[in-house]
Amino acid sequence: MSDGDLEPNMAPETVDVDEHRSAVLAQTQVREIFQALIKHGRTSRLYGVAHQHTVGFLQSFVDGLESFLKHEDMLFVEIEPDQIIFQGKQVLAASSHGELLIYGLYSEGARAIGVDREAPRAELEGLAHLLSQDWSQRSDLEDDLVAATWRREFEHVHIDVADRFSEEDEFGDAVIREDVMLGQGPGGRDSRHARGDSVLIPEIQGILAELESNASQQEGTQSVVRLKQDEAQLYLSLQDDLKNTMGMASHHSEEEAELLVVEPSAQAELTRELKALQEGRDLSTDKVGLLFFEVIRQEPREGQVVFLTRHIARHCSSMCASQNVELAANLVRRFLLLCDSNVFPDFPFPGSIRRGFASFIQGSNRTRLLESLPKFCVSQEHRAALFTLLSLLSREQLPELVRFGADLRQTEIRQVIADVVIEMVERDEEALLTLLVTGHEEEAIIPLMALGRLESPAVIEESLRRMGSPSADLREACMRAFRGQNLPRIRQEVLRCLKDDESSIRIEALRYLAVYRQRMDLPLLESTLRSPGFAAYSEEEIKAWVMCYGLVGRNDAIKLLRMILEDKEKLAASADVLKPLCIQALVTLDTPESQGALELLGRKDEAMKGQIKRFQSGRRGRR
Amino acid sequence: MNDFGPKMDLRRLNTTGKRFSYRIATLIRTAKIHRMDNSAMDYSLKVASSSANQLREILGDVTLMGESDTVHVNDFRIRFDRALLSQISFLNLFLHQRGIGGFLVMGDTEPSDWRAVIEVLNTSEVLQEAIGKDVQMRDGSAEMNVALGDRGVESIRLAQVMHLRRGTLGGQYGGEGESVRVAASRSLQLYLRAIRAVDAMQRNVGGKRIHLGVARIVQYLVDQAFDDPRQHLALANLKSDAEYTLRHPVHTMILAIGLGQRLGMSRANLLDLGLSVLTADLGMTMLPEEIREGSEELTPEQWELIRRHPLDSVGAVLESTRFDASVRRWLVCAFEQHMGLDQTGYPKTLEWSELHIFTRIFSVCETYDALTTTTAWREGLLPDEALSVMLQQSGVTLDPALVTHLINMLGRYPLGSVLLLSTGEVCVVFSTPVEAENVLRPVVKILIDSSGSPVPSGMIVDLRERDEVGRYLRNIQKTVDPDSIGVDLNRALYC
Repeated sequence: MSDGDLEPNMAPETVDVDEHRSAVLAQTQVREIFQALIKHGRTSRLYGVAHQHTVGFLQSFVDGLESFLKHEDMLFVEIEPDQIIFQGKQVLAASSHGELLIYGLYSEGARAIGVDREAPRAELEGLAHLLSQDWSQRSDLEDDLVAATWRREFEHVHIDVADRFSEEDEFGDAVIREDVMLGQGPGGRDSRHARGDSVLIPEIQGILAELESNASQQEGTQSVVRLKQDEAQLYLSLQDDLKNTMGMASHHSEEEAELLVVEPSAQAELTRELKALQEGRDLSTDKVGLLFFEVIRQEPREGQVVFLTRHIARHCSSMCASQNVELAANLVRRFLLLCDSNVFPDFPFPGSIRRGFASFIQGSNRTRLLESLPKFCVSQEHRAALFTLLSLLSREQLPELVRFGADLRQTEIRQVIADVVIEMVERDEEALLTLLVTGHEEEAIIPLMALGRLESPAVIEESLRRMGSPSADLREACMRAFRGQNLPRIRQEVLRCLKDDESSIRIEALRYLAVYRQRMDLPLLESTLRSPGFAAYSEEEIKAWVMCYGLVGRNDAIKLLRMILEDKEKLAASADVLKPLCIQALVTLDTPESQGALELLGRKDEAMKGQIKRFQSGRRGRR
Repeated sequence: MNDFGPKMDLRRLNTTGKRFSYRIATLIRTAKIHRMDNSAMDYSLKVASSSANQLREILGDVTLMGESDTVHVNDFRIRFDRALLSQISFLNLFLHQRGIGGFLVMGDTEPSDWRAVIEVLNTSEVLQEAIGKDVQMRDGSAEMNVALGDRGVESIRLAQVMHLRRGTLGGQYGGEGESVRVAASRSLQLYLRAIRAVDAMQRNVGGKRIHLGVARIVQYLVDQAFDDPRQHLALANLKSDAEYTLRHPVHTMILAIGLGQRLGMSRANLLDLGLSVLTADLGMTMLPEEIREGSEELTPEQWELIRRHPLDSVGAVLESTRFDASVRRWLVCAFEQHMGLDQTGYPKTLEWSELHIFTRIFSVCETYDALTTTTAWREGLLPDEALSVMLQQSGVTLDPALVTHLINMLGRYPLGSVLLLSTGEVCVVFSTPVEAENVLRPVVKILIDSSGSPVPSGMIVDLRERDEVGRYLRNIQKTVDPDSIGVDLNRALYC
């Protein structure tokens, strides 16, 4: 620290310098804590909360806070529109990467944040999640900062918030501002509130007015009881009752007074349910799916069926966008039964369900799915779930689905769409061929993949004709379509594609070769593996080459794979990348010779033995 | 009662008192790190000084006294946001440990005066570690006031610790140090806001049925259930001939939140429960008024519409842009609301598992409110009569465990029950018992004395009171229909 950092009113005595140092140190610590928070927020938005960098920055934030609170009773910062203040000094400015954090918090009403020394780690992590949220992206109905803080029930974290819904009443309490709540206040959207304050409950409003004017404290106040003549007579009859029952009243002095007891097993069941509720395990999506099924099944109005399925489609698309493709499928799985006339012959609106569900791939839902599906629809199970969801669309949506598939930049998901299309046209090749010629060039992708899946001979000419297309997606789809066709002219095209500029097409070509396993291709594959350019390929492509080499070469490939593993053969690609792939290729071969090679390798190298076991058990698991 | 004049001044008083207390707490903390003449202190000193001067403008001489997490300015209790409470607790603990109860401000102050006060406080010794009513508090004020005088501070003095006085009933039945009147008024305001929120939902204001602001009101009600359970349950007993379709969901929600809280649910779950109740009957509001409000016998076609309203409620909830766990709970509660525990109600399903806990709580609370409310088509029952009816339905359409918990929450004589006592007095149940030994002996408010004369301002008595030989002073003879003797229940509970 330089002398220039000293505050002007600081006396130059040793003890003061120490005090100043500790203050500056504390400010530096707080600055670092907030910088870690900003990084946590940024990485979580970019890569998700589970990403190692996100977790790392969260750790830094929590560790920093814990370390700070070892020496201080509390961390207390104030939030201003353009800065965060600690002990009267700026520790974070909007201009230095803090803009999103500071603006987000301030606009949500946060004015100060306090953290007690006793705050447990879980609360500190909760605070980080809360503060890292991008509040500017919050939709109308999501929790705002006040609600989100309230939900977390922090004991040792305090966020002082100026609540936009409230102002103080005459007692200094925050009260809800209905005008803002109903969208009428400044910035509000709605001025159609029919009644507003005109909701009248005279009895209660009267009492409130009386309480507020303090009238009940004054002389001559209105009585709670107003006995009319007949009521007075009734009161007298009550007194008679009393005389008659006085003798019976004596038991009250010895009365058995206890709370009613809940039957123990019922109480245990209730406790179990409350625990499940607390842990969010109280409701399965299957039950919600059943609810949707029942609501649609029982709905007698066609328009309402379309309306409901449209909303359900919207929620399904947002579930897909938040990595829950399988849960979304769970919601609508039973709808397919409703649409099946063999199962529900009397259900009148199968077409309406399909029509309503068309919105799943329309408008903002479509945009959301295009963004999220390639990221979150990764496993076989996810793709099966997507198949279920898309199966709800009707044949009328065929052209739209084909366009949707063309816009989705992922072959595996496109294949799901192609499979759905096959079912939609009831495996009618003519219909698929018609689709091929009706749309834009890239709209041929899905019909080609569908024809390929059906191993239709028609796909050969159609695909070969399109292999010269500048669209890599289309060429890739053609390669995929060839898979069912083992013809020399296709093989020639495939071998040519091993030199395509696009990695995805080379990978598809290698997959084709791996399906038909012609030993004559081995030299070509080996020469590529040994070429200096091999190092430039992506890991995914290196894997495709090694696996294809193993499957095509069979026992002839074992020698090279083994030499790579024993460091007797150095290829251009990194050994760290290659070795696990070589083991995987040997495990996949699964011949007595490959098993023998693996055993020998395992005996020489303990670490490799472990890797081999992992691959072998993984393969057994898949079987 | 206070004597501060117009409401505006009260608001200003509260805001200024809050700002002053918070700044003093910040100054004490900051002074632990910085020298007193450090610029980091300047801003807070300026704010503390100007706040104290503003308080003097409103009140003249000012006494600021703190205890636990409360601060009183003269007779007025400052209301703090929850977020600030820890700062205030810290301030009061710090002062009490030094034998100081608060500050007396007798003239205009400068920042330098407050700098001196903080300096004196920070250099003073800790006189007592433990704080509490049983600890004999030592007085640290005299010595420190001498030190302040030595520093030329004339306008501020430190006051010794004294326990704050409680309101007549406030200490026991309302918040600390405030009158029941204030708590009741605040509670009724909250009730009316809840009614208006439900009105907005039912009318689909702005094309969005469930506004964030509605959730905020439910949050306030959840907080009330924890902070002041009596006031909370009292709201469900408010009687009126108007706006049944608005009051019924609000009353059901209040009861459900109260029951959920007694079952140990978290605040977040209670919020979901409250909103589940409010959204469950949205479908009902879509029915024609003659079905909802009419007193005529319903035709089969009209019954068909009634039986369909849970499906419409589901449709209304589906309009929400959210589809998280909370919304899924609302949906299930909306769908299951009339199925009944034995699933003999409607809608009928091909297969269904057991009802969600929210639905079962909803059913129990909804039944109680419906039974005890007089409408165009039905005469309301007395609370204890309603509980008897519910006990008959327990295990059939209503969850027996939850019926039992509801009865334990409301007491054998629920809040608002009018009782004839062995003394000839007529009273209303004012506070429901929670302990086992109290269940048959609630706290009551006497409405008619033993001579048959109305008691204008009521008298609160505890039916557990005994005479010198151990006999109860008053016993319950029977429940009485309040209408039959002209009791205005709302005023009985609130005035």
